[in-house]
Amino acid sequence: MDKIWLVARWEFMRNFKWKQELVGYLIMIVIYGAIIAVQVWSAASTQATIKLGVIGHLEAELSGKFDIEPVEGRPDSTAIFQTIDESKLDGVLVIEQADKVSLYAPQESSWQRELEQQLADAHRVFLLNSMDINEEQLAKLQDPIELTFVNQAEEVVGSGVKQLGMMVAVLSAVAVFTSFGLSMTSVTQEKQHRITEQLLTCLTHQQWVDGKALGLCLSSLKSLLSTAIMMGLIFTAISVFSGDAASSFDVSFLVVIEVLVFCTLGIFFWNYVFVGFSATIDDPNHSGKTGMMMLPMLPVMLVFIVIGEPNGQVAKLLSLFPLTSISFMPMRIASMDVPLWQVGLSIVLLIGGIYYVRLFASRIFRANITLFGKEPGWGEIWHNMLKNDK
Amino acid sequence: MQLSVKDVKKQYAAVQAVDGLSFDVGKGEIFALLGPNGAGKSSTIRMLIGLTKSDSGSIRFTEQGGQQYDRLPSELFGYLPEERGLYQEATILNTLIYMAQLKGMSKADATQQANEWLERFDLADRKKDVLKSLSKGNQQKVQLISSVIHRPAIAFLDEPFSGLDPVNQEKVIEFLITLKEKGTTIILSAHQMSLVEKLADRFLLMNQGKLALYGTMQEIRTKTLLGATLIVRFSHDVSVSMFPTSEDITHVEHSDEQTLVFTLSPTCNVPTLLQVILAEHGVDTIQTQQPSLHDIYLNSVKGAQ
Repeated sequence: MDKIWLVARWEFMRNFKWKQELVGYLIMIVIYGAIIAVQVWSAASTQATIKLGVIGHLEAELSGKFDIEPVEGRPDSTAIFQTIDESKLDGVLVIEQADKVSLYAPQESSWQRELEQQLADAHRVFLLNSMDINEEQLAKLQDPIELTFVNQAEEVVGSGVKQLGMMVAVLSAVAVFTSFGLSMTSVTQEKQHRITEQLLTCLTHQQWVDGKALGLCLSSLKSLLSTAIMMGLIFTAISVFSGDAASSFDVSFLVVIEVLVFCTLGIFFWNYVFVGFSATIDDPNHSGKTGMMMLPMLPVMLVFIVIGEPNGQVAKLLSLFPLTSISFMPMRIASMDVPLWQVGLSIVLLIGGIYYVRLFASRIFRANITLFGKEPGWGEIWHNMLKNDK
Repeated sequence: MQLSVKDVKKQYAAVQAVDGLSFDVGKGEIFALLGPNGAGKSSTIRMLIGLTKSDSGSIRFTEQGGQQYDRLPSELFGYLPEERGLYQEATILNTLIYMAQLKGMSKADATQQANEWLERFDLADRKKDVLKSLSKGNQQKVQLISSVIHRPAIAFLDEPFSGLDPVNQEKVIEFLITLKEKGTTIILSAHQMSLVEKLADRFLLMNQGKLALYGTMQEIRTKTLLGATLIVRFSHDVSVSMFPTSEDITHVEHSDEQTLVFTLSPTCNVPTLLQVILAEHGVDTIQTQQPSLHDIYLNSVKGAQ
């Protein structure tokens, strides 16, 4: 076990450089700070009053933000734009009929949507008033049904259920991509730099594979944590600027633990696959097998298709099957109250999957890690996987 | 650590890499495995350290206390592979500590040993540099240190001199002598015959997977039937015809008008031959030269071909 930890620590530290990590976080903070600063600046620099010229009779009463100034005549668009320029107006509203209005402005601005909304609201009230209906009827028409959605998932998962489902799906993808990249680099570099023989005099193949899978798993979890922190910051920022309370991203601690357990087991599972398979690659730049390493991306991508139906047949079934449960079950846990037996069965099947994938990966690794200058065929890999060559 | 190898064979596909090899290596001995490329040296070393299994025969290691092993525990041996490399992006010190820890050393002990060896190889000021920043020769030295940093009882060094300049070759010789003095048994393969001859106690010459010659320098000289060379400067002009070839003299040639070079048979009694020459001719100087390991190697390999 000592040697497994030694290899794991070495693998983790190879990919973890304090200085680079801190610089990475610093850059993240700077980017985040810059986004906030620009948003604050943009909000602060928005015009408080809009000077609006009006040709024709405006029935609606606009808010105080709009400073109305009547403009004489019905000039054509060239003349209107000249008026805007000379009178330093933000725009000119031409009222042709009560429900037909044109707005002339030098460019698009956010106040134009606000103006459109106010004009539409005012005209709606005008129309309703002309139909001779009382205030109660008017209120009913404006708000015909009061629907309150009591989401059970929010009670179990927390009010951040919607964000969490998407976040977990993205994090699964990040973890699998990171594992793929790190294990491919780690194993093929050791092969190319001919470190393999010397290491095999210090370690058994199994210790080497276990140590690598553990170390790379820790590296992937580290990447996952970094991404989660970044996404958390972004969600918080969106909440703050959209006017929602920052606490809207409230998630049950138990759900976070369950998701973490699945992510960790899943990363372990895929790292064994990647480490074993990487040993068959002689030169990653010219290997025909590199594409095969992308296969684990499939379940990760499929999650995005069924993310809106966490309790559908597809999601249910794939959340139990070990090759796909790694991505599907965390998404379901983060989106709804998954029955405990399903979570338990999925974990048991996943642990069983790890047992076999570790066994097969070690066999493939043992047969190919000292094979230089050529790559085994698919038939040989299949044979390596099934044959115990200890 | 002693080693006894009996009738070991190893075949790769249609190639018989090692064919019935038997030899013994004593404790604290420097034992040289010699032979042309493809002779089976690296295959033999790989079997000895357990990287591959022999098809038949036995390999037995015996520790000083009598403990015997068919396969050595990793902390008892060091290995410098023929095709070598270390982590190019890692620092030298970290790499050495890692390799030593994998061989069972504590971190503190590994750090101390690494610093000592780096000092000895003039690499102490580069210890925090990454390996790829070193020259090929210096990388070779780091690799050598990594293979014996854990003070193994026996070290297997495949081509320890390759890629080194003469100055560093001498440093490696000193390094190996230091190891031997500390009681480490060393089994090495090399092509630098003059260096190996200076260093090794015994030799095993392999050819096409088989043992061709085995023993001390004196023993293999006798076995090769390659005699000494006698260079005699006479006090007068001499002719080759004055010394016909015989059981003792296999070949005579002129070096100059007064000097003859005699190639002697391995069974030649040199003092008797000298007495005969001195009795009949006036002689200014006599010089004898034993066949070098290089001569024996070439003779043996060419003979087999």
